[in-house]
Amino acid sequence: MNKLIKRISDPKIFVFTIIWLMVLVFFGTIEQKDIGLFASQKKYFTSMILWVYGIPLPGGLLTMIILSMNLFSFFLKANSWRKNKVGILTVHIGALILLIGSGITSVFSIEGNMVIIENEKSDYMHSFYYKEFTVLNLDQHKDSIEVINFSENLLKQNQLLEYNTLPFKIEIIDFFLNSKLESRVNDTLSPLRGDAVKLELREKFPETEMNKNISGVTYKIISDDDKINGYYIYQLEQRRPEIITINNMDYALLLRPVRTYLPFEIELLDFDKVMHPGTQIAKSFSSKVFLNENQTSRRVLIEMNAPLRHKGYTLYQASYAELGDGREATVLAVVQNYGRLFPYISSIIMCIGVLLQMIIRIPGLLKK
Amino acid sequence: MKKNSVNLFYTLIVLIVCSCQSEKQVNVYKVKKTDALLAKQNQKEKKTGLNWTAPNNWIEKKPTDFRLASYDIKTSNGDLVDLSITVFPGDAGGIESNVNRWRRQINLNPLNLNGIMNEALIESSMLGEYYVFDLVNQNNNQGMLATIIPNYNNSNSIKETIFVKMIGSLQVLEELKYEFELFCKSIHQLN
Repeated sequence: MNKLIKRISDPKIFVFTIIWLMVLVFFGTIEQKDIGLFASQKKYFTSMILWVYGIPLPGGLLTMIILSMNLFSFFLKANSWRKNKVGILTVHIGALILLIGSGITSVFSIEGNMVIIENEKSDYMHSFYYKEFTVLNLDQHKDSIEVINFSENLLKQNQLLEYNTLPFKIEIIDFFLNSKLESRVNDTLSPLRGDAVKLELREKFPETEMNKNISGVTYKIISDDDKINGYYIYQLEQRRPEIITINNMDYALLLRPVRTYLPFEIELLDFDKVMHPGTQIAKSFSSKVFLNENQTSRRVLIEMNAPLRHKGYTLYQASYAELGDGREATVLAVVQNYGRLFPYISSIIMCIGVLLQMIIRIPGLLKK
Repeated sequence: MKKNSVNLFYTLIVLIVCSCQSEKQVNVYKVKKTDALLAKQNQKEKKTGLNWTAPNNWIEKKPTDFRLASYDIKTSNGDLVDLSITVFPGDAGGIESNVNRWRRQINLNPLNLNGIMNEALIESSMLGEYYVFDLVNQNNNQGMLATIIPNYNNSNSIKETIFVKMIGSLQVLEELKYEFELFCKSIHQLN
C-alpha cells in the first residue's frame, strides 16, 4: 500500500499532468475555431480518452482525475503531516478544492436560455446543447399534462422508447444533430404519417455553434392501432408537435432542447434597446421584469452587465428577438453553477498556504 | 489518522466513478394545463367532439353559430387570410353542389361530378379518406383551397361532413398550401 501511495504521490506525476493539461488547453482552444466550443470541450476537456489519429491519449477528465489522486495521496504519506509542511499541505488542500469545484461544475451545473415575449412569462430555460424527445400526455389528467422526456442519449438507431403510461412505443429510425428537410425520395418506409408523407430528413454537417444546429428525428410509432402506426418525422424548428390519438387520448410528440424548470417565474414588462447612432447595431439592451415567486412579485432591471442573481441562478441579458408581428422578446442566458465559489475559496486557501510556507521558511533562510 | 486517510481515498475514487455515470435517461413530470388550453379543449369538445391542431401563428377567431371555428392566417406580405371550418349533418348536399357553389364564388364555371372528381385530390386522415379541391382562376388571380371530410358513424354511413375552406390570391394559397394540408390531416374525433 505504501509503495502504491508513494508512486501515486510522485511529484513528477503532478508536473507531467499540469504540462499535459496545458497541451490540451492549447490544442482545444485552436480546434474550437473549427469544431465549436461545445465539441472542443467534449473532445479535449470532458473526455477520458482523446483519440488522435487512432492513438489513445489521456483526455482532460482522466488527466484531472490523475491530478486529483496525486494531490490527495500527498495526505496519505506519513511524512506530510509535519509542522514544517503546514504551508504545502494548505496549498494542496486549496488545489484539491479547485479540482473538486471543477468536478462539481462539470457534473451539476446547468446553463441555457430563457426567451420571453413582452407581457408574457416563463418559468423554464432551454439547454444550449442537449435535446430531448418529449411526449405530452394531454388528456389523461384533467388539469395537468404529463410530460415524458427521453434524453438525447436514447436517440440512437433502433432504440425503443417506452413508458408505462404510454399505450405505444417509439422506435428511433434516425437522429441527426443537424438536419434539413427535403422532398421525399426514399419510399422504403411504410406507412408514412404526418409531414413524413411528403418530406424526409437528411443529415447535415454539424455547425460549429451548437445553437445553429437544427436537429431532426425520424421515428416509428408501434401500437395496437393501425391508424396511428407508421413513420413520422420531426425537426426542431417545427412549430407544432405531432398529435396522435389512441383510445380517445391525445398525445403530442416533439423534439426540443432540454427544458429545465426554475423555482420562480420571470415576467417581461418591457424590453429596451439602444442602437449605435445611424446603425442597426445594438449598443445596449435591458429587460424590465417581474420576478414572481410564492405569489409575490419583485420588479427587477436586467442589463448587459447587471445580471439578476436569485436562488443560485444567474440571469444575464444575452440577446433579443423581434417577432414577425412587431412584438419583442428578450433572451436571457441562465446559469446555475454550484461550484462558482470554489475558485475563490481555493485561491484564498492556496495564498494562505504559500504565505504560511514562507513564514515557516524565513527563520531558516535568515540563519543562512 | 492513516486509516481515515485511506478511507477518504477510497471515498474519493467512488465519488469519481459515480460522477462519471450517465445522466437520467427518462424524466417525467407534470405541468399545469393553461387556462387557454382548458378553455379551448372544453369549447371544441362541447361542439362536436372534433379536435385538430393549428399552427401557432394562426390566430383563432371567435366561433359563430355557422362556423365551428375560424382562423386569421398572416402571410409573408402581411395580408390576413380567413380559414373556416364548418360542419353539417349528413352529406350536406353532396360534393357536386358544394364544389360548384365554391367555383361560382371565384367566377369559375360549374362542372359535372366526373369533372370535379378528376380535379380532386384524395387524402386520408384519422377520420378516413377525404377530398381536397385546389380551385384556381388564373383570370382574376383568385383561388380557393377546400376540403370535404366525411365523418362516418359506426354503421358506416355519413354522420356529418366537415368543410375546411380558404380563399385568397393564387400566390397566397400556394404559400399556405402545405400548412392547410397538415391542418386538414390533423382533424380527428375525440370520442
